[in-house]
Amino acid sequence: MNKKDFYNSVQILFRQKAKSYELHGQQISIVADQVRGTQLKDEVRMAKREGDMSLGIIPDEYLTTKEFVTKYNPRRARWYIDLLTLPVSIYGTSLVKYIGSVRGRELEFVISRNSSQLMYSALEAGGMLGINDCFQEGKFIYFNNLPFEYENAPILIKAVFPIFILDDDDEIPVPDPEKFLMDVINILALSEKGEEHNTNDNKT
Amino acid sequence: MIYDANYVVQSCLADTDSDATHYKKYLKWAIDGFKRMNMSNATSVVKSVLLDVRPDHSAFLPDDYVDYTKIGIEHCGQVLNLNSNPNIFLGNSASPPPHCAKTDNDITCDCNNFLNGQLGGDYFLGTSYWQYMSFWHNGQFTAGYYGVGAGYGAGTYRLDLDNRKICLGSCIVAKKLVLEYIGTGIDATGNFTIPYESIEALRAYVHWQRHRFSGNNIAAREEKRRFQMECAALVHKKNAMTAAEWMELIRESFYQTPKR
Repeated sequence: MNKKDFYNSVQILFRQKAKSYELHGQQISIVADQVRGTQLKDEVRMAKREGDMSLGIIPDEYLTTKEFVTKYNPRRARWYIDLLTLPVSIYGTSLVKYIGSVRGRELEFVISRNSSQLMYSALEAGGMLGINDCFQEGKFIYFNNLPFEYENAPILIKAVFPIFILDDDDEIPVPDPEKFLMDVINILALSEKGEEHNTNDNKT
Repeated sequence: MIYDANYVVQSCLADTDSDATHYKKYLKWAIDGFKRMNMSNATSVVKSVLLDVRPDHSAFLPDDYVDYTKIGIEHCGQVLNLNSNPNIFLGNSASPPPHCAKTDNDITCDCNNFLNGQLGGDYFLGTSYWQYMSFWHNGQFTAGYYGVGAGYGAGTYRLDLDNRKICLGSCIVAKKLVLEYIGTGIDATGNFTIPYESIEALRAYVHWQRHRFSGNNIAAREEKRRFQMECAALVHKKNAMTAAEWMELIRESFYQTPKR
C-alpha cells in the first residue's frame, strides 16, 4: 500500500467509523508515526527479552530506501548529505541502517557514533582499518573519508524515516499494512472522542 | 577471502545479528584481544624500513616498533649490520653529541673496501666472516644483549627507548639507516591480517568483552571460559609437531640392535 492509497483508506474508514469531519494529512502522518514507533519499541523489547542486545533485529519491512546527493560543507571541510528530516530513533540510537553505493554493496559506509569521535581518535580502532565511515549529526550525515567518485553523486540510504516525508508513491514501511491501518483508525477515532468529550466539558 | 581484523569484526556482527553501528567498538575489542594474546609475536612479521639519520646522529623509531632484529646500513642491496655500544653518548637537543673529527671519510668507502676483501677501515672490525649470530630466544633476537657481536661495526649504535630513537656513534656518516624490526602487527589504517588459527580465539574475546560491558555476568563468564579454551587450542595448534619432527623424535629414542 503506497502512501496516497493509505491516506485515502484512512479518510474513508475514519468517516465510516467516527462519522466526523475530514482529517488533515499531517494529523494522519503523526498518528501513523506514533503507531509505528510503538510497534518498533515492541519489537526491540521482545528481542531484548530473548537476549539480543542490539537494535539490528528491527525487520527490514520498516526501512525506506532513498537516494541523496552528497554536498560539501567548506566550514566543516567535510562532505555530507542532508536527510531533510530526522530519521526515527529508538533508545537514543538512530535507525539509519545502510549508507552506501547506489549500485548494490560495492561500497558501504560504517556508521560511527558522533559522540565517540574524540575518544576513538587516540585508539587504533579510530583508523577503522581504512574503511569508509560516517557519522550522523541531527539530519545531516558527515563523511570522514568520502571517495572522489562519490562527491556530488547520489548515495543510497536505508533508514526508518518518518511517514510524513515519504513521497505519495512510496510504500508505507510496515510489516502488516492492514493491521497498521486499523490501529491508526482506532487511535484517530479515540482521539476524536476525547476531543468531543473535552469540548462538552468546556461548554458545561 | 582475506583473514584480517575486519573479518573478525564482521563475523562477530553476524553472530549477534547486529548492524554496523557497533563496528568501531567491536574493532577496538578485536585489537585489544590481539594485544592481550601477544599476537604481534605470533605473526612474526618483520618489517624493514629506511630511517632518516638526523644531523645529531640519531634516527627516530617507527611508531609501531616493539623490538629490533637488525640495525645497519644498506649497501648494494645488503644490510651491513652495526653493533650495539652502551657507551655512546645519547645527547639531547641542548647538547647534541659532538661530531667526530674523521667525518671526511664516507662510510661507503669502507664498505667497498670490506666487500672487496680489503680488511680494515676506521670503524669496522674487519672480520671477513659473517658474524651475525642467530641468537634467538623466545622469539626475540638477543645477540646484542649477550655481548655477542651482532654485526661489523665496532659499537656503532645505542637504543634510546625513552625518547624512541637510535643514537649512532658520531663517526658514522650515513644518510639512511636500515632498521628491521618486529612491529605491533596492528595497522589501524590498512591491511591488518591475523593468523588464520587465531580467529576463533579473537571472536571469543570480542564476545566476552561484549557481555562484560553490557553487564551480563553469567554470559561473560561463559565467554571468558571459551576464550581461555580457544587460547589453549591455539597454543596446541602452534606447537603441533610435523610428521618429520615426530619421525625425528622416534628415531632419537629408538636404537637399532643386532637381530638375535
